[in-house]
Amino acid sequence: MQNIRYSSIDGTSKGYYGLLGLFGLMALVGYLASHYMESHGHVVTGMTNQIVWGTPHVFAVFLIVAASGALNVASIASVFGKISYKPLARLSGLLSLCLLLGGLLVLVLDLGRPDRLIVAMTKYNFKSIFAWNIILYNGFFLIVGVYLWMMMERKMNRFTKPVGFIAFVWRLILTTGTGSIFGFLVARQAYDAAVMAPMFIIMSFSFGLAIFLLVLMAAYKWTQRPLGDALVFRLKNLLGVFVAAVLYFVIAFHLTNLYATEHHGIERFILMDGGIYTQLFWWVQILLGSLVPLALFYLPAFSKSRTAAAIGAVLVTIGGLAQMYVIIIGGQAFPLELFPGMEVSSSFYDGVVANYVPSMPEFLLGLGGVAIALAAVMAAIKALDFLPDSLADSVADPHYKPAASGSEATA
Amino acid sequence: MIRSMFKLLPLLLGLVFIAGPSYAGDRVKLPELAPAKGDKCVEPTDVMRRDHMEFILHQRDETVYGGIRTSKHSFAECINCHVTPRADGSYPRVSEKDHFCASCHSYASVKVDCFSCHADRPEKAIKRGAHGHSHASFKNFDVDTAQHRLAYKDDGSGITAQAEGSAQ
Amino acid sequence: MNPEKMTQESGAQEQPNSNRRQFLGTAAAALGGLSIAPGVLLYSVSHAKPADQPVTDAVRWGMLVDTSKCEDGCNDCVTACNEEHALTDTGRPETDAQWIRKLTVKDRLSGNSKSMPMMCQHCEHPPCVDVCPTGASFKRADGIVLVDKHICIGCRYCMMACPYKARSFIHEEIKDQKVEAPRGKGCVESCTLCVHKVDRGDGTTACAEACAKAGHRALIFGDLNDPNSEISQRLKKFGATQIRADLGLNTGVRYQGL
Repeated sequence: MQNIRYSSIDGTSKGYYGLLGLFGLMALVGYLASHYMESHGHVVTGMTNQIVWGTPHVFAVFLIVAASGALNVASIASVFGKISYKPLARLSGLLSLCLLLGGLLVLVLDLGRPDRLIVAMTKYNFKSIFAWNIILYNGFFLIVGVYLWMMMERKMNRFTKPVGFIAFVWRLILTTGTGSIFGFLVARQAYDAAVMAPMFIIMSFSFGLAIFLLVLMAAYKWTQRPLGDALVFRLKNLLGVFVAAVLYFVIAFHLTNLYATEHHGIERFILMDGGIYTQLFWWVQILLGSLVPLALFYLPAFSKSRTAAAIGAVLVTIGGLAQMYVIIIGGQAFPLELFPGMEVSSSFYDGVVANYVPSMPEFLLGLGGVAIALAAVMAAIKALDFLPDSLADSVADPHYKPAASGSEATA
Repeated sequence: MIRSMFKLLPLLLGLVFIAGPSYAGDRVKLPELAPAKGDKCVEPTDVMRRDHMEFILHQRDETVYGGIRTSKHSFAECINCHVTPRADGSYPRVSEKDHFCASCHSYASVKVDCFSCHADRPEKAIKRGAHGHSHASFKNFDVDTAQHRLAYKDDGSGITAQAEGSAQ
Repeated sequence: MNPEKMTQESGAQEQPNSNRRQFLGTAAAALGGLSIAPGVLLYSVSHAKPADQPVTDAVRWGMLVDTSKCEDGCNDCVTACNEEHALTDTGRPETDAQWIRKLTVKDRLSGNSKSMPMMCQHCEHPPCVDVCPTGASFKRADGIVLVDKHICIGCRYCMMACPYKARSFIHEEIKDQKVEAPRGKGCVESCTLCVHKVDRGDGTTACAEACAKAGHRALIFGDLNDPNSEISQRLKKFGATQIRADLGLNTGVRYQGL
């Protein structure tokens, strides 16, 4: 393994400006959508008094969860000392910051009173996990910012490990906090489970790495920098482990619920009768988002294909969004159990499955958050030295043996 | 934020009042404050001009948290005295420049957040239907929700829920 | 499913904080309880606080719902609440606010059906207050759970947390609010237990008044800390149920006849 040299990308091509322009436009449209929602009120969205958190929250929570997971590659390098991940650590830190930025913007712009952000930042109820999350998110920006500095400033390199360790612990706490937003909802059948926190952590590993792999492959392809097969395959094999782990948590969660008669209603809803939620769960989250990627990552026919790895990562991302949709919106659509065992009806949609159709502004706001995150990555890698000049196996793979590896991928 | 902007208000007003007359010709016209009921306000005019938001803010927390609803610094009483009918009997809205609050706030370009929740005119100026909320929705709820009702069957094994037409 | 889950009998011994305030309660009761007509007691007299003094935890306001007296199809409490707080019908029931609603609860096995109002239960340990990031959701010293709309950011986490679906988000602009019921787009709201009437010393709520006017008297408002109040007396004598008692929230609204 040679010395790694980092440099900023040129970023002068038509393709670069075109893509940046596209993301900029999406971000602008997202902002306008949020402005429309704020000035008319949430009546113009699909959200109601039954489904109080809608599509923006699906995107926001997905991005926030993926953000903490994207930091994993850096953690593996600095905390667990895996030298082969070290060249990727800067991009990992950058991506995690950008994804968090995108997610938080969506979350904030969906508030009923986004103009009162200053209140959220200055008044804290410390019994609220939401309030803790605000502190955790702000701390994450600070810590990962310092972490990047330690990595990128040669004089500071020796502090990389301790700061990386703090960042790693912080991100675990952060995702625990995010999962606990749902885990702490004692009254809701679909939530109220301690397993939510660890499940969100493992989900973050999976979604974050999937996005990281895609950004890495795209960046190296479009800048014509060499990216070795060994590195790509190592990352996709790791992603496969995470995907399987998410699947395990999902199975454990539903099996536990299925054992308790109390939870049969919600389980039947999600797994069998829930219409769109059931479809999303089985077809998108489980089949497309978990089983197909596992096949693409591990079946001998595909295991040496970079295209298969990329498609797998895309599917994991889509499956992750579906999983968030099922958890957040499916969980609210199932009625609260005011009188367990009784049939309840009212003028306020008690005892009925709530209706929710995502509206265009919500969807555009969510996409705007994704666009902001990706545009921020593009701008940052042009401004600063985040990407190694070469991630060819001969340069970046500690196990590289010239004789064993015939050709070196540069695409 | 808003409070700090409020603090700028007397400064701005002060400047205008000092420099106002001699420049009146080529400057934005001073606001014409709508007439109020009664002889005088609950505090001297110069105090009110500078500190009205402090009084309102203080009373706000006392009312919300302590249930203290004395009238001296109550927001409702501000509106009752200061939002008076025009010659034609109509009451101005805060979106109109002749509303007492709006006349000055628009002049000083200071955003007021009060009226997103509080009525901008006295209760007696507001026409209400006999029943504000007959709740047509209540009468119709069976029809309304039947299509996505959870139909429960007692099959001895617990609940079976059928969601017809849940969110698409 | 287990109906016991929500129907744990909770007698008067679980009455909120009664020990600490026994003295005050008794003292107040000695002053109060003036009879203005046979059978009609002016309970409010014992709780009238000086107008310039903040509320204290000497009282805990609550409501008793006698489901045996609540008439199926009667909607007077809801109408009264809507009128009292100027909750208007926009024709969009999914986003319209409802502070109080009539529930029909049917036993699947027996077909037995009951009608009752449902609203904010004014918990002693309200989940909405726990989860609110800014502290806008709060419980007043006298047990009334409110939203400080001046610092509510509209995140709706309280709506996710409330076991009773008691809260509404204001989905569109509102004008011409009642003086006592300020409400506006982007904030969350719920039953205030007619806090303005309580502060005024009315000693009742709009819904309870309307219920009494209709001749049902299914809603009894009063001080749970005052052992001589009608609500305390009836709770002591007949017991009552908390909805979702399993959550341990010690609700201020209790139900009889479930």
